[in-house]
Amino acid sequence: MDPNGGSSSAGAADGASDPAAARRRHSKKPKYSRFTQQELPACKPILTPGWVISSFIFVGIIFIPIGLASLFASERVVEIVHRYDTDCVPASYRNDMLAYIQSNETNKTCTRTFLVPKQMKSPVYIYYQLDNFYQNHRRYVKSRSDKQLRSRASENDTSSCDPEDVTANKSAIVPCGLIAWSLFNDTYGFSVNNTLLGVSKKNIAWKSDQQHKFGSDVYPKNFQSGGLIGGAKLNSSIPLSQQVDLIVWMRTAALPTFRKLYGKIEVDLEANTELTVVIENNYNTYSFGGKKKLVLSTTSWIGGKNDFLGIAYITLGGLSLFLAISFLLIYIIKPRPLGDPTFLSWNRNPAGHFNFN
Amino acid sequence: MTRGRIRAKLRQSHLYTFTCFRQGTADAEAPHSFDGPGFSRIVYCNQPQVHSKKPLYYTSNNISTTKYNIITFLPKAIFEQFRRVANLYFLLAAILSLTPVAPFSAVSMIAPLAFVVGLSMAKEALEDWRRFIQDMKVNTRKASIHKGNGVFGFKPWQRIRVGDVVKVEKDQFFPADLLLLSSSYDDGICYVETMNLDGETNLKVKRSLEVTLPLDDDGTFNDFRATIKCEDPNPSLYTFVGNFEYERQVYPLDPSQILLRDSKLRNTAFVYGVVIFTGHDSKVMQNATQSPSKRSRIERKMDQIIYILFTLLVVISLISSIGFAVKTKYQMPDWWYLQPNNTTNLYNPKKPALSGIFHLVTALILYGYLIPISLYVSIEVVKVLQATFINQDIHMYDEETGNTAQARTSNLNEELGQVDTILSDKTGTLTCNQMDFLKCSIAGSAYGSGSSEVELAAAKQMAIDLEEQGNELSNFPMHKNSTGDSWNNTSALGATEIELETVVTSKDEKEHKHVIKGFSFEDIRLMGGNWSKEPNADVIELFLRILAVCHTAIPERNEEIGGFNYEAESPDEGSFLVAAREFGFEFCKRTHTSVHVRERYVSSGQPVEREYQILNLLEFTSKRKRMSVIVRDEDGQIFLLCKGADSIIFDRLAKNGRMYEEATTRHLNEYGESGLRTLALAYKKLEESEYSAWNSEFMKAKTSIGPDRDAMLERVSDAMERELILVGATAVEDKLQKGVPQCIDKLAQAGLKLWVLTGDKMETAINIGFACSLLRQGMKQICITVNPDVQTQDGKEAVKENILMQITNNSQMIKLEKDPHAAFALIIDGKTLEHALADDMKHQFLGLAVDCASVICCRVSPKQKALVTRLVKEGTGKTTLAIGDGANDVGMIQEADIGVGISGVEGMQAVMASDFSIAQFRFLERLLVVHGHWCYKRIAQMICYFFYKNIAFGLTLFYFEAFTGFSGQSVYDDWYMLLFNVILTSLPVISLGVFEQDVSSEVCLQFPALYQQGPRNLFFDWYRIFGWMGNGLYTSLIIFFLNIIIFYDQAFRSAGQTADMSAVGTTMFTCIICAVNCQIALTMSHFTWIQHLFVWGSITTWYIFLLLYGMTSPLFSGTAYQILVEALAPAPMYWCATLLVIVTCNLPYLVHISFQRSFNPMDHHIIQEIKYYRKDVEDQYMWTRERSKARQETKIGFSARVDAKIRQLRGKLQKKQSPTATNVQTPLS
Repeated sequence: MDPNGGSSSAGAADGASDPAAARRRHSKKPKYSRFTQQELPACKPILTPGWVISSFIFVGIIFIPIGLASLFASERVVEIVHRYDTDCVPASYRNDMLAYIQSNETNKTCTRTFLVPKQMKSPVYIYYQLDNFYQNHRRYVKSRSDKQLRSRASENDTSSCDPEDVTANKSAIVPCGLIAWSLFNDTYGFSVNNTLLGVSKKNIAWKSDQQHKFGSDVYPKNFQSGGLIGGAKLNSSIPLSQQVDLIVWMRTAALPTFRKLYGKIEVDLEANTELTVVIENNYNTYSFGGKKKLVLSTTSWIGGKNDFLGIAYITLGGLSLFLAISFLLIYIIKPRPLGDPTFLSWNRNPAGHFNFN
Repeated sequence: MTRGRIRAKLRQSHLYTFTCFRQGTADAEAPHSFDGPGFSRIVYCNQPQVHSKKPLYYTSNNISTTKYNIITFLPKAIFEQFRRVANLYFLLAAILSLTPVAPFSAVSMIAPLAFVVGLSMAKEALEDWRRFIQDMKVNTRKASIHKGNGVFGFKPWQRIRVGDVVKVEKDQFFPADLLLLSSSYDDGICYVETMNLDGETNLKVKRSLEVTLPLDDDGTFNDFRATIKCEDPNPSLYTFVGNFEYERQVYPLDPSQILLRDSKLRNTAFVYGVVIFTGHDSKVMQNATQSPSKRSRIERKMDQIIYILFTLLVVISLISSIGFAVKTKYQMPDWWYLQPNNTTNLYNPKKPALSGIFHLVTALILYGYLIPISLYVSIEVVKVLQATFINQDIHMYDEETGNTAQARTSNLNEELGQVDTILSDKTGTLTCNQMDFLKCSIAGSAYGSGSSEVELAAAKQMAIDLEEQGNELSNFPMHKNSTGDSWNNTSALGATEIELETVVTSKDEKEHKHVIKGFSFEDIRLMGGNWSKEPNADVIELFLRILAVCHTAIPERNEEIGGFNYEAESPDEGSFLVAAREFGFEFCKRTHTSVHVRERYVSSGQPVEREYQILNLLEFTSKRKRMSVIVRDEDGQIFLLCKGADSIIFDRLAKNGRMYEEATTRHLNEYGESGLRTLALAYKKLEESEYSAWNSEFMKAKTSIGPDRDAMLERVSDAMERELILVGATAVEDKLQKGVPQCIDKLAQAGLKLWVLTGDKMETAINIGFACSLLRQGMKQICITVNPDVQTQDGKEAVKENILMQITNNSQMIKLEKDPHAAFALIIDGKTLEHALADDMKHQFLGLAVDCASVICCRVSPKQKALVTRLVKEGTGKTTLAIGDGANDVGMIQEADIGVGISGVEGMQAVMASDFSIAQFRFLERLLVVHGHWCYKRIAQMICYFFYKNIAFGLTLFYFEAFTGFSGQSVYDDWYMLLFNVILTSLPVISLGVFEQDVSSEVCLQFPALYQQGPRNLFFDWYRIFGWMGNGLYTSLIIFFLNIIIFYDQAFRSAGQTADMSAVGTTMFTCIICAVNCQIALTMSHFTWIQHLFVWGSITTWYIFLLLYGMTSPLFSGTAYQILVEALAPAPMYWCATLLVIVTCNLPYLVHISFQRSFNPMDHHIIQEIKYYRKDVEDQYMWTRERSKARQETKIGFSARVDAKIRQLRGKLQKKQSPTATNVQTPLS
């Protein structure tokens, strides 16, 4: 056929008798090494019934206690969830809640009371929970400037903050961006038997955020000064590193339903205490039908009330034990000795193979 | 066969019967008249400087086979890279990532692409560099060039110009296409080996023009001037048209004066030639075809999977963007916090359709993780490493030639594990093209106790098999009877441990004793002059004399040893002469008219040199299948000595010449069965008058001119070669390459089919078929040939019809065959094949061929080899492998799915065209059964896993979209995603692809049946692929939803903080990394420290990365700043969640593999267990038994031969027993 010419004769040209060639040949012999010969020592674990059953049992034994422990911890958490978005709107505005919330004249203060069902050990964490609020929307998430938040020198670095980057006269907004602009601005005041309870805002934000991401020399500037007012205003005399509510808010939530830490009450709340909350209901969730909830919760080692984790662990542990038992039963009923050659394909299906008869 | 392969000095052409006289004395003298396009080349001989300027400037003799040069490399290589759809997609994504549409930062798109493309390009560059080096080697070879004034000097090949006069010496390659001017022989002929061009090993004669004969000395070229006008460069090897203008005369040129580049000068001291075509103009370069780029079956299927994933990608992107458009239109106006009235077109609620279209682009980029960008590059890395292992395999190193196996293209490694049909060349591949005189039968008695390789191997194999057999059927009396005590007495275990390989080594040791090439005869009765004491000494003498005289060889004095070497037309003849020499009849001289033989063992004791006058020589042709010489001995007696195919000779015996016929026939059958080539020897005594009468007629026929000449000669010769007296027969072993029968046997056991395609004649091919156990006694041979009567009488149609009828009849016969053990062999020759390969018949032919256990195609041209290969490849749809050593195999090697070249012999053409090269045929077993099997499984598992991990990861992005209003926000940090494919999950899967072994190489070889997992495609069928994809889907669902539920709204740590997007994203990503790495750990069955390092190292790397990333400036790490240290690591919830998710993700797979192993184990599972519990050591009997059972049922190979024998014996035994013992149970029924 078509010879593939040219370079082809290169190999053929090496003279057989040439001693140099012979030497070269000699060196062509691959050196033996366990690596190149693919003979490296290896462990070749196989899934013996023993391994299978004991690993399932092991999973069961580990998972069920973890599940029980976390379920137990979760049970100990006392949680009060109080939805107030509708209730805090006066009856006359119920049909047009948006008008109520957008109006400057309406009285936004709203007082709610509820009973503490169980004793709540301090610290009692106060959360606000929003619903149907897309803090994870790409437009929203991107609209911030970490540089600007961090140091005063980068104050004008607002390129990523569109559309809330500069004021009408082109001076930078600090903090810029939609996230800061839409800062949550409902406030809660708590009192028991007409005694005000202090709401501590200490350590509600991540320490690293406060120390490294929000500059202590960056002060709010031109914030909420445009025609469109988003959410809360900031005290321009407090540096951003101290604006914990802002810091918490700016950790965008992963899901459209989220809770954020508002503060904490550092006294125990006894059971059946009547807790009075004075809510400044300012934040507009009415336009998109989002719920607002006030949540008081204690925590345990796994955090807040989270039965799912415990249940999942127990279920999985139980499933593992069930699998272990069923494998065990199957092995007892229909054992297959390991390495039994009768299971080799040529023994199971001799038709295609040698058959001396 | 070749015409004159006789030393030219003898000018013996008159002796040769069928040699035509110098062509065209009358008609061709006129110069060719041509002008116009296609014939414009003018060469001024010995004036190369004329050709350095336009318009006579021709290309230089520099050749280049590289794909790129320094300037074109970048654009061309980049273009090549982006011809891959996936890469193009990623390029588009990378470009778009510079626009605001992109969901993540540009660097996270561009960096992996640059990495991947850069790596592939580096590989290209390296390969091209190697080609460049090889070209350089050729280009810098030195050739002797006329430098002027009759002085020759050396110049590198690349500086040879058209018109140069070149002197080429013996065994050198021609540096360009030359016009032969003169040679060291008086009549200006030279011998050329064209192996590199057409793979033919025989030498071809080239002849210079008469006028240039005097130019046979360096000095004569001082003022030599001539002009050649000839055709333009073209690829036709066998044509040449041109005129030679010399001394004002014009002479026509034809191909017999043209010496082609890359062919070699043989048997001629030197030649002078003028360069006509240089470099890429030369015929061989014009013939060079780009070897087609081949892709493996798995890769082609992988493309389909990628298309599926692309479809999935488009579908989910469409879902996303429709969702986005809907959300933007109906809900976004209410989301005041996004300032919906103040947006760009990307999020414009007033133009939802436009935003949707923008978002579609975003989504296509975002979900790009479904398509593993690193897949191609990982596969490439893995294959290169696999190829290195193949190259480094010490078991495939050939000590003799010093060659290792070479994976020349690494992209077919896994295809080696799926081969179904092997198409093999014969000469040089299966055989060494070396004949050994092994046995002979003289005067009805057989001599020669040596046994052929086949016999040896078969005997050993039989011993093993009967042993196993015997163990199994210890109550079966047959085995004692048939095998005797020797097998039983040896310790059962010891005997069964004998490997086939030991057969090879034992043979090797033997060979050391026989240093004489071409002679393996062992029989004291004939050696050392002992034959004279035999009863039929006179017949033996005659026999040996025939060997020494009846041939066309030339002796060549070997100065080192002092004896003679023989330049023989065929290796058979060479071995006869060697044998004759060893027996004491040394052929020592050939003159124009006589042959001199030195006889050592004559009664006088002194060696005598006898002269035999050669009166006539009736040449061998494939049609005649015999050759004869008519000689006059020193006593003046005239003899006709004849040797030829047994059937031909037996037909021509005289009544009184049939004395030994019966015994000789018996011996010939035995020899044939042991795979030997046989020839019968006969003679007849002629009376002077009888001879002269015949001779005059013969001379008349010989000198006649015209179309009848050959027929006349044939008739006259035939008249003479009658009434012969049979002397005996020879048996020559066509030496198989080392280990060939064993290898064929093993390959057959692995379920591979072997077709032999050879250019040899049918008898030789059949002999080799027997030698390789492709054929055996009791096999039904189906010979499909063109019936000569039909051919002459009717036209082409009738021939076709006849062949079709033969094919259909035989197919019918096979279908009707009841005996399951019946084996058929199909033997077909080239001429018939021509018709059988026609479109309307090829499917019937293929159908018949597939039903046959062995297929031998003989007398096939290189093109037919390729066509047959294509037929098998396309007709059966299975993977084919072609193996060959010569340039004539190039077509088939390129055509087959995998081409394997045998390196080590001279021609490199096959190797250059091949995908893999091995030094010996026997290495094919290891290449396929070990490396092929491993590579197939590795690549298959690797690709499945790749898709799994990318689906698992990519879909979580999609789910998250549903929670972000389809806005295109990713839950993960850009850097996580960047690292996912490139660092965090790539090394474990590469280690899977490089190091995974289901069973060790010994076990692969011991259980050839394991190979069938490849051709049956058990590891890459759609069931498995979709299984893995389903697993990916499941994993993605678990990872996403468990994490989302766990981190839904509650505080995730005791300090009360809730999880933000980065905490959720990082936890999910941790889960993905751990889950997919644990998954691969479950998939692997072979852990060296490397796998441990990579798998567990990947998980560790993730944590280290997270730690380091968290430590960088928050401007860089953003929300991931100190995420591990501050937020996640102290939270038990994080650890609980990851543990839960990882276990949940891997549980179903664990259950699946446990279940499969328990109830539906595959063969390698059981073997792993046997090895694990060392049962093979404890219960060696079981191990050996299973090993022998693990063979596919074969109808070829000596296993089959042994089986047939056993069946035969058992049949005999049962016949014997049935009348006496009626209660015999049928064992094993």
